[in-house]
Amino acid sequence: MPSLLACLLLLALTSPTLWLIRPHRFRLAGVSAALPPLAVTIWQITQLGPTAAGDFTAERYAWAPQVGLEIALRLDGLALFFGLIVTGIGAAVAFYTHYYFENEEEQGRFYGLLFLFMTAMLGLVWSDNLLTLFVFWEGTSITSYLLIAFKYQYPDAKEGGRRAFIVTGMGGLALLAGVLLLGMAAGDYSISGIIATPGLTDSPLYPAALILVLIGAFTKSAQFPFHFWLPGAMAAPTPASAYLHSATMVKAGVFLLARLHPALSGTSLWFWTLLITGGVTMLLGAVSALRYYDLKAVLAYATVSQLGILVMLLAFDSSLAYKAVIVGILGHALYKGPLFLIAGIVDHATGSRDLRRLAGLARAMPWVAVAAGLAALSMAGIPPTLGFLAKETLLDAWLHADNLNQGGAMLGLTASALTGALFVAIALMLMWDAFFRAQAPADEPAAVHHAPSLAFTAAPLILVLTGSAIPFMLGSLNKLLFTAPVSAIAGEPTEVKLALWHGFTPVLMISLTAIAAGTGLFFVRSAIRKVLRRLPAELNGVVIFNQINDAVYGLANWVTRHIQGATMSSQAAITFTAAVVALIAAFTRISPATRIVIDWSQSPLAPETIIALLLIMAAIVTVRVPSRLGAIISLGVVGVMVTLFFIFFSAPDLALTQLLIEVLTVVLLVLVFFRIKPDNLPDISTARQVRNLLVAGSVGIAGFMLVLLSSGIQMGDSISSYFLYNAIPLGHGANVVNVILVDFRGFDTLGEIVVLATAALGGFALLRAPRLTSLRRRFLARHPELDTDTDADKGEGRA
Amino acid sequence: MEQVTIGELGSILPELILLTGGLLILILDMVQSHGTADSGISGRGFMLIAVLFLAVGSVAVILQFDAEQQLALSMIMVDKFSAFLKVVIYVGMTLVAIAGGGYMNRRMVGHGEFWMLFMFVTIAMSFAVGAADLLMIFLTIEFLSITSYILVGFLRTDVRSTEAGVKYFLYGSVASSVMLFGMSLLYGASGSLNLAEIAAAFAASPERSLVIVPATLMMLVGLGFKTSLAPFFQWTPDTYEGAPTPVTAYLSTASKAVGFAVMARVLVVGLGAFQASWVPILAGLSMLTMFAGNLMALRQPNVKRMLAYSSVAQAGYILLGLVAVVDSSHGNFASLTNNGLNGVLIYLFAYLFTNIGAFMVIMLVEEATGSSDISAFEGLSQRAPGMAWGMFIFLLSLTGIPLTGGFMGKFYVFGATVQHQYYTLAVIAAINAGIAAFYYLNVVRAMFFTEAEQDEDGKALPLSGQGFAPATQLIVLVCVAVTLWLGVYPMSLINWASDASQNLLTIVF
Repeated sequence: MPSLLACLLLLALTSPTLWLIRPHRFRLAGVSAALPPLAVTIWQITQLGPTAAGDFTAERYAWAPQVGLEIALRLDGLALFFGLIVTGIGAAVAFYTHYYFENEEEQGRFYGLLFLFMTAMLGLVWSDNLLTLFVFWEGTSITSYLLIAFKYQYPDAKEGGRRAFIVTGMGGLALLAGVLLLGMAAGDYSISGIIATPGLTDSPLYPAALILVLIGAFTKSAQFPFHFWLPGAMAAPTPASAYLHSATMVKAGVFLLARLHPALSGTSLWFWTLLITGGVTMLLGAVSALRYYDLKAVLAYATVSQLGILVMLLAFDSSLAYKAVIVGILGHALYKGPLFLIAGIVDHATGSRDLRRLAGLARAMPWVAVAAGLAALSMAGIPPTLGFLAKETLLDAWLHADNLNQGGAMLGLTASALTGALFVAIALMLMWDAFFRAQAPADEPAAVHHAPSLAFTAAPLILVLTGSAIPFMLGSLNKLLFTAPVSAIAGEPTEVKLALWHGFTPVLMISLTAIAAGTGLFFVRSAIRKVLRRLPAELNGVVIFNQINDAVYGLANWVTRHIQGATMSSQAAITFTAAVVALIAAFTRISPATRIVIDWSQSPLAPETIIALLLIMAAIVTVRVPSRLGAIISLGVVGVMVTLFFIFFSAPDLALTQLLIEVLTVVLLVLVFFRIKPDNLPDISTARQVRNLLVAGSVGIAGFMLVLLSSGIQMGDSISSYFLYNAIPLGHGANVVNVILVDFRGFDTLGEIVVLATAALGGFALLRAPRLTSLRRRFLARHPELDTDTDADKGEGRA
Repeated sequence: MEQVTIGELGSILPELILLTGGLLILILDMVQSHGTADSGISGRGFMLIAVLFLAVGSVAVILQFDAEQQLALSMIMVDKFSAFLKVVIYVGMTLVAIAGGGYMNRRMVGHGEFWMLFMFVTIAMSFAVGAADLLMIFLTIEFLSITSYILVGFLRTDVRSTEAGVKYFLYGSVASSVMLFGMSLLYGASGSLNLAEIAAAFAASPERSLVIVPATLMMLVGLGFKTSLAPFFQWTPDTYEGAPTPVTAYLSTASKAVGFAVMARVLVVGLGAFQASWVPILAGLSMLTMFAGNLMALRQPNVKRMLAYSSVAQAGYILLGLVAVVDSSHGNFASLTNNGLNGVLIYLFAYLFTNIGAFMVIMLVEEATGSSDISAFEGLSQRAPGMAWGMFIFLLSLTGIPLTGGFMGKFYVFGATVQHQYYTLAVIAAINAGIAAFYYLNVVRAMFFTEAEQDEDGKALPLSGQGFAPATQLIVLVCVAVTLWLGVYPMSLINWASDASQNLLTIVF
């Protein structure tokens, strides 16, 4: 049975269903919305055993096999681990959403988008094909955009959404390019295939592919310097923030790195890029979090920091680091998600998320306080929470980092410990300021006017309790939950033995020191804020993004101003200049000096010279003469001079054609301008005249060069001899032209006749057109003396 | 001298059918009296005739699918490549005829003229994609251009339409003459008009090949004009904005496809051996086009104009496929999935439905509000949800988001660029795709995230007018369906396009 596809379809179909039933009208909508993801979660739990035993469920559906596009799903350890987080937290968030939106009409739309996202995210983590993964990846970007911009009445939401989409969208394109290169290098787009390909890191395509993939992953997982979109994404409704921008979507980048770890890691490029990017992001996020008062902003920066930790850990090639990644992801999902949900409850109850206005919430909302307290303990890494376990493994990974020398490892260890301390301070700040202190410092403290129902609190509480229970079940979970994903990251079976208590190890000592230091930082938090406030604003990613944004718009303005709406002559000047530049570039490449032979011995004769001079003069007159009629006539002179050239070089047929065309042109132009007011040509500024002169001159020179070039080429044989020799034997006619017309080119002549007939038909239709008839009537009304049929017919025939 | 037989006329059967239709409309229009408005065949009647003949012509094209590749009348190649593009043209023109027919019929002076020209412009395009001879190429391109000038300026009483027509004509005639000069250089140096013979002539006497670069450049002026590549694109926004929207719809899709098809045939068949000379030119044009189109689209307050610039940018992406067209150094080109040319075809096919759909939505909004400014789209999701979602899908496709046809096109040309290791070009394309997202999102933002005008009860005002034309709505629906279908299940399209492109590539290598 196609269970994986069925799960995805179930979630995908839930999306429109929830939208259409307008869930804000039903009391039980929260429960029913939570059921589909819960069902998928339960099914995944049943798969834990087989997956841990190495028996992976896999499904493939052809999509576009010519390019390796197929829907390939494979439930290995990592996929299952992430899948459980996606649907498990998804169920809680779906349940919570109903109470968050209460009876607002928008609820249905939100559910629709949320479930679309859930489908895309689940598909992403289950993919066994990089192209499938990319498709789902883009799906999460779009749904994320729509969710951030959900409250579109607020400019913040629109801006934040757009920023997020542009950053992750650009990252997505980089990822696509990286994926294509990776597929080329490995000869396969399937992830299991790529991982199994040996020596991928030696491929010449490896550096380019890696950098592109990393850009994709870093933008998605909000790594420095792309981290700035994540705080901006906090304009989304809180359930979306909790789900997308903390628990799942932002982990997609980490997931991708973990997924490709066996294939791409092990080079110094991989190691240092991840280590430095992750490390910088980790510190930056943790420090920035202390600067803000908005609950969600604090949590967002803490999330950035946590993502940095995960990326940094993936730099290593040690099972300790992999363990730290897996525990870190799980711990973070189970404490940060609830904290966001709690921020939403606080916002709902008091109408504020500002830490300066909040105080003493524990009394009014005891259950919320319990959930928040447990989550904060985990965040701070106090034993025996999951957060503590995560921090222990993180520090342990540093102590056993064999890629680094002693100094580097100590530096990393210190930075990680400092981050741990900052987390303690942040957790204390959140708990103390919002829940326990008696008095808020702000002038208008927010009061609880709307205590949350127990159902509203249930979702974060359940998540937190799950998180708190896990450390006590390590014995059974080690094998069932942790071994498989760690093995997937390692690319080989790896045994995991996590335990809460290892005795008084150095790691524990560092951990405890960090907790103490964090408490200290908590007390001096106002001072830290003051220092942070002094930092120049330009360091902020949003400012840089806006500057780039403005620069692009500025450039767009400039280009638009100069090209669009310019006069026809300016536009033509651009086009001509481009053509001339390209032509000259072409000439330089063929070195005409060596290829084109000019016979200087034959100097031009007097008639030629005179005609040429007249031609030039007529051309000058055409552009200088102030009246239109004068310009038309001198243009006619130019044409006649060209005709004379043809006569001079004994080409009477060409001359005749040219003359006919010239006369017709002049007559037509005069006829047209006859109807237009005879005002003089507008004045042109000197600068523009110079430009026009330059452009015209260079076009002329380019044309001259071109003619010179073509005259230097040996042409193919003339066809005329063929007709001359064959007219009598094949065509039985002495008049060669006649033979050509009716015999050699019989079909051409037939075609010409048909064309002429069609043109005549068209002309006839045109003459009968109502507009022309009325014109004629008006004309005759004004000039009754011309009212004879013959005269009028002549006039029309010419038109 | 090859002998031409009547039997060969069978290979131009689709065009003959269209010609019959066009002439039938012409004659019927001529014999009926213009005395009263109601007498004779109405515009709708002529539209029906046009659609009918287009349909019969399409059947004839389908009959040609399995025909052996052959050179008909010593000028027109009947092969899978031209069959693919003929389908693009016929389908596109049928969509435009059904969706835009009402719009045109309400505005025009006569009854049949528009439909006659419509048939003729289709014939021109249909011949052009098969033209294997410089003379035929010039004639068909010129035929297409002249007919298009008239169609663009068809609304005689509308100043903007007239201005658009004149502008198109002025640029077009200069571009055509430059192209002709380029062709004459090629002819003079090789002694043949036939593309395959030109290739053979240059292979036989390489010393003549010094005209190749100037000739290619000059021909690209004319073809670049047709496909609105920078720096020959300045007519595009004015013409697209001023022309009647149905005409814009075909100019931006079918007519552009023809330009690319001719470009591909000339470059691959005629000058395939000189790929090293023309690839840099195309690459430069592509970069310039992408930047010019995208940057200028950013600042457009009018959606029709924005889409015009966006279509300039799209031409730049399509050109990527020609840049990365497989070269002879890849010995086993048949095994390469991304040969560049199939990317071009897939792109053109997907783009056809996306862009026609988008222009038709704009046309409906224009009809209902009297404006195609972005402000007319505000709150469209509340005022006309169906159209708003349709437009959303089209914009996603234009952005190149997966599960839409536009993604498949972008994927293929982008993939070919990466596979042939034109990394700079790929990076620039990616940056441009990012810029493009800005202005496509602007429309999405107006449609979905801006409040519509409201009546006293706080309900969004529905769009004024007598509702949308059902025929146009149907076509929008068809375009949405095909755009999604191509994105979700592109297998048959990919096979078909790869087949058609291989067919052209095997001629040379």
